[in-house]
Amino acid sequence: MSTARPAGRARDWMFGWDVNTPRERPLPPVEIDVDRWVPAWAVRVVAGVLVLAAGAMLLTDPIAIAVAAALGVGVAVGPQGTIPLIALAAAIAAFAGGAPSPGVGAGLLVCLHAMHYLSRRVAGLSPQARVELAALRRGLLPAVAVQAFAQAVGVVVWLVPGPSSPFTWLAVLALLAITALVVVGIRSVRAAETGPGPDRARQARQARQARQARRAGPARHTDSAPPGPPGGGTPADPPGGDTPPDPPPPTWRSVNPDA
Amino acid sequence: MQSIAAAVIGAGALALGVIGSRPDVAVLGLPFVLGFAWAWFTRPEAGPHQDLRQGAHRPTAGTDTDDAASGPSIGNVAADLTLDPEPGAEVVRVRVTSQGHRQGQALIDVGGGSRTVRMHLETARTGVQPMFRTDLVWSSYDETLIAGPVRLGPLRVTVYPTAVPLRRLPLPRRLQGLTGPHTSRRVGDGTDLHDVNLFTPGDRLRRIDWRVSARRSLDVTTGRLGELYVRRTFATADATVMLVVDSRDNVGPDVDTWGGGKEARVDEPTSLDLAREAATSLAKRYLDGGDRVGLDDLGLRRRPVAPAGGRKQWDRITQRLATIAPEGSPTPRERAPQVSAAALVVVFSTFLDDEAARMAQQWHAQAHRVIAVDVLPEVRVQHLDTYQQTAYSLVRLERGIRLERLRRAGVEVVHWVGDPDGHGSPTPADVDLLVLSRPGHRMRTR
Repeated sequence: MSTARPAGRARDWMFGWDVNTPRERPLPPVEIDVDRWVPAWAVRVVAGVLVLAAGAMLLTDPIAIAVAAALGVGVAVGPQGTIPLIALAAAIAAFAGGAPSPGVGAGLLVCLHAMHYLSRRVAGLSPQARVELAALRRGLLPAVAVQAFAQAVGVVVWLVPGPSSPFTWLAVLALLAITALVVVGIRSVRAAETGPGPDRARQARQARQARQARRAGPARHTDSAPPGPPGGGTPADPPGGDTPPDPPPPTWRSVNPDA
Repeated sequence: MQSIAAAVIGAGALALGVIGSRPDVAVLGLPFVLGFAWAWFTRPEAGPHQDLRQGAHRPTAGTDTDDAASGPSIGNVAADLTLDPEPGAEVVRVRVTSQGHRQGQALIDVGGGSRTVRMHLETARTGVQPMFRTDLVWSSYDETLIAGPVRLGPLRVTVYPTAVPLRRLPLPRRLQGLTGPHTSRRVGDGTDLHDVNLFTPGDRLRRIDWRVSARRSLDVTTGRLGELYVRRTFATADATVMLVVDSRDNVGPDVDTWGGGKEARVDEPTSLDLAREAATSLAKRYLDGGDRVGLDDLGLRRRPVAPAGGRKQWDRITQRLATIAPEGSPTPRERAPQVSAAALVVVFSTFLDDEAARMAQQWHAQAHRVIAVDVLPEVRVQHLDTYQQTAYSLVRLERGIRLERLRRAGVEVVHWVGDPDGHGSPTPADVDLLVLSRPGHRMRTR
């Protein structure tokens, strides 16, 4: 079959495909039934395109745009890594290095924020993963509010007194203070919805335990036994046919397990 | 961590704007700082809860005879993942893995409260299998805080084989039960006429045939009957069937996987899956007909399921069939396991080695009717290299000789999937069993 000469080996390698042997089929998947969803690769592509759009708004040099495109590809390929952060820092640095128009600044604000928002959603997910549209929408309202607020600040600092006036800094500080007040106020509203602040976690835990008591009934490891044969008695569960015990509730932290 | 890094970059942009008198640059950092602040202030305070349970329906898998051309039917196994978040948790990343399957991943919204997510997979495998190993990570707003990863499962799911409908099945040579659905060759209570005989002590009075008695022994001068005649019938009896499954090996259709270095695909039944399915089908048909069925295993030695009838016996048999699997290295048997007298013995094996064939011949020598059901799946040899092809040719040749010797010894051979490797039969197993069930059937000993 194989030829001894290098040229023959190369020819075999390039053109000696075995088209008669059927390829192995892909393995069957484990399906997760979620509501309306989009594939994670689509979200990744959108995040990458946003990086490219930010670069195209900022830069005119083809090489620089090529670098932005490479960063966009990097964001699409690895949204969980440091490439989105590099893209973010590079865009801010490029913006700070020039004197772009207010429109470019507004567009850059939208692109970078949206890129960060989307790349955080799909970080740690494979490209074939299903991303629920509701999960994409979750947190969208605060993000839009933050974006609108930042745009408003941008309008204030660019249009009202001029870029070199000390008023702009006073405005920035005032708006930051307003932001903190808004956040604290909304937190208070949320706490009021679920109960008094310090008791919130305890009340939520009690409510959850009450729900589980209503729902569960028998012990959980007996629930994992397969139901009996149709129309007849219930066979005994096979040896070892139970579920592992409940893991302890996880604790919240800021370290990414995928890192 | 990335949200913190983004917030740091945003704070850096703010600082750069202050230092460089560039408020427009400072504005660029504002969303990231504010987003982090929002995430921090709305952070969850208690750990979330999650639970994984098997779906409510009984998982089954097996060959669909209605659609035999499309290959084996695939069983659907489901599990329910219950997510019970705390306030502040927004989304969950879920990754589900099962042996022989591509992993499934999803980003699920849990901001609306507790919810249950259904996960399912398709498999042609039967028996007890670990499935649905689930890893999940909870996230707060913008994934600023995470909880996990939490590992759930894997669940040990029992997938039961389905019973293929069969028309008629062969019976043992002798029926020894006292009552049942079949007509035996003994005289006793039944419906089929055996003969008319003189009344003897022990005969029931209702068996007296008055017409025959009057015709043969009426003394017309005295008007008295001399002797009485009774109608004797064939007794009815049930059959005793012993199903013997060879669980010592479990090979898939791809010969490349027989060596053990590669996993057989889960969407194709292996020989043990076919053996479970065949045994379940025969057991159901015999038990539905009122016969007594038992089950034994040629693999690891354990107490067999004694022959009995009824619905619960079918449950016992399906349960035992679902739990048998190749375990350890069983020592070769010197003698065939003991079975009930005059029982029909059905051996389910791939006959890739001598042991099952030797046991079948021993049972046949003990005057049992023995049916050998070949459960080798249709083999594929496309991915074999030259050495593997040579080795497989030898194995195939030995198997063919072994099956031929069985036929010549008087053991009836049935191929469950027709013709798996060129040594089978072109007719389906149902037809072969129908032929074997005919009363005047003579064994083929070509």
